[in-house]
Amino acid sequence: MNERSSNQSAATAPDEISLSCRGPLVMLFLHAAFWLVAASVLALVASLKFHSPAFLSGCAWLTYGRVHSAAVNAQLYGFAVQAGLGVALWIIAQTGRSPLPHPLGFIIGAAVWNLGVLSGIVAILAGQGTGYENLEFPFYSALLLFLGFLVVGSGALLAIHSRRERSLTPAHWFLIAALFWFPWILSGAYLLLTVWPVRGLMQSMVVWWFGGNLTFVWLSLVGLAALFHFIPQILGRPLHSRQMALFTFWTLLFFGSWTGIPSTAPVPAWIPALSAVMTLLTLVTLLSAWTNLRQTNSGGQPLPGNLAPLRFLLFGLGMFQLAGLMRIVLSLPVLGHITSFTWFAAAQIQLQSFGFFSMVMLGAVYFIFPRLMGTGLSCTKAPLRHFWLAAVGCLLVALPWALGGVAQGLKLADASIPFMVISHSTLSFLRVSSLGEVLILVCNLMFAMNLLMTTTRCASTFFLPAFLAITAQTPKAEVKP
Amino acid sequence: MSQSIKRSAPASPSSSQPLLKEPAFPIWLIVFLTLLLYAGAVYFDGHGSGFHPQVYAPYSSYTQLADLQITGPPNPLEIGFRVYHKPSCVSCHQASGAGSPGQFPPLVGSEWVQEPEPGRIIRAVLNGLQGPISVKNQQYNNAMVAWGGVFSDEEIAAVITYIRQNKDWGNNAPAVTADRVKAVREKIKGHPGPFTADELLKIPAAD
Repeated sequence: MNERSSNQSAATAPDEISLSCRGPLVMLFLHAAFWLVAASVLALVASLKFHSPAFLSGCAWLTYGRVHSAAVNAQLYGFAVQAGLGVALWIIAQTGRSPLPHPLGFIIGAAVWNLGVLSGIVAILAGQGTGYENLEFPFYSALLLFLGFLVVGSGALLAIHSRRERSLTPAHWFLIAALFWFPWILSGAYLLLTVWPVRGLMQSMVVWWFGGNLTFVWLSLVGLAALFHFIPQILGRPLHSRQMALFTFWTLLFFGSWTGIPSTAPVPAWIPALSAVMTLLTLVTLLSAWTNLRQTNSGGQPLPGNLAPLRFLLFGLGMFQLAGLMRIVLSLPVLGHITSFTWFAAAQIQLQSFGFFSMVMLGAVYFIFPRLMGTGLSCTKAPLRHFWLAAVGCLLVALPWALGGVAQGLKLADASIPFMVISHSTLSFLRVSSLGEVLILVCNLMFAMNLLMTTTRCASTFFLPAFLAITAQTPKAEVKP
Repeated sequence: MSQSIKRSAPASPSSSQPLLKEPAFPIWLIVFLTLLLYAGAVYFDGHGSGFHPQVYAPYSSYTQLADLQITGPPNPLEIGFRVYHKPSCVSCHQASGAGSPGQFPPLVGSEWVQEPEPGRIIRAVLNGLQGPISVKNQQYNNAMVAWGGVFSDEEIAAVITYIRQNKDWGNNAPAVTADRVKAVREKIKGHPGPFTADELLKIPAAD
């Protein structure tokens, strides 16, 4: 099937490749959408508790410490990794011009993964979280995540192996690295924290190493793969420079994997110093990705009907830069001493995880879903509305946090201002960010409803006639005695 | 369907990534990376402490730490100051050593504190003191806690030295050694409870 015709009319029948993706991807995307909504509900509850502490405080399951961790983990493992896997499978199948082998295997892997996320979130809310940041899932949930990822990831590698179009694209490099990176960091972190626990501060070192590798390296690998794949495809022109993409790839892996140790960490001085230098060097990763994709995008027009996905992707690219720069600010000793332990760090995580990664994934899913289902989206105008709401919501959450964080940090450095006064002064910023959380919840609901309704409509188109045919009363003449 | 894909694949390789002439790699990116590497190396040289495992921020080298290390024997006046403010003595005799008029006698300029031989004051600190006592011509009648079970010989020697040699208080009497405290502790082993002022006055000064 010609790619251009599929772009012009998303409602054409999907080809063999898209059909092979349908089961696994619908499974992954619908569950990812569910966890995205769950994460934003939990994040909203956590956000409200800062200025209304009495809100839902009677129930231990909904206390801040649990709800906040549950929101972060639902966002990371429920949405980010899951949607990332779905987008990765699509890119691998499409660029390789080869259907996914054994779709049922992917569905089983995704089921195991979601079982892991569900058990982990319930365990966190029940107070069984491990207490390690980004690794709050208990060991059994992490084991399920690992097994689920192993099944889906090895299936993806099989699909790459059996591709018909042999030349690899930049997106492939990033995705292959991501497929190996995640099991490595997850198993490494859990083995060193729960199976053969290291002592004392080494635990924090493991947690920081994992956090840097998951939220910066892994999310950037998959997010940049999606940007390098979809922006050229939507614009109908090639990526500006393969060499620069290669440069982005190696600098991200080499410099990014050393980062994540805060400048204030109570460990021997060379560790934060090395981490700060490496974080500073990720500036070239940001710059090369930015230049490459700006050059690809400049003067280009999206193919008809793809404005909303492109907006999502470009917004994600912008937030990738902003979040990366904020990360460098946090790691540098002079600026980091003002911003660490403030809301500035929370704003950076929000921009990295939602502003960059989630927005890129949402754009990719809006691009993929109509082609996957062979029907248009249930609500075709929704993606563009979703984009504006999500962009405003994301900035309404992150900007007050960032500004409030800087103000908070400057006041914390002044010994004459009492701590409680400083905490109270951040309240107005937190109220605005709660408004942003409401907007994000609304958009995530729109997204989930749109996917669900499109799937139901597609399913009814396919299965209803079949169902009717099966259950129809057989004419008596045909019944054999 | 799959047949048609196979045939068309070589003709239009991956229409999503058409191959065009590769633009030149921007040299400014390499220059920028080199500058950042240089700046990073300079920074790490200044703050990395040469991978020394004992150097923590905000220090940046081991020599800096070595200069801060305490050398030589510990100063008994510093240890005495810490013992005095544990809080132990400071609760009644105050940080100024002036005590409370009518309640707790002063240590500043006290004749009991400044006796050339410290036998009596060591006994008072080890076992406590009870009943009427005259200090600087003022009468006091109160009870002092026994510190013998709380502090070691070294700590008691240090705190008595701190009290006897405190220049801010105008006191200037010979220092007390831990050996002296240990010897006194042996001698009063059988003494039940706190001493009284009369008992202490009966003990020879050098004992």
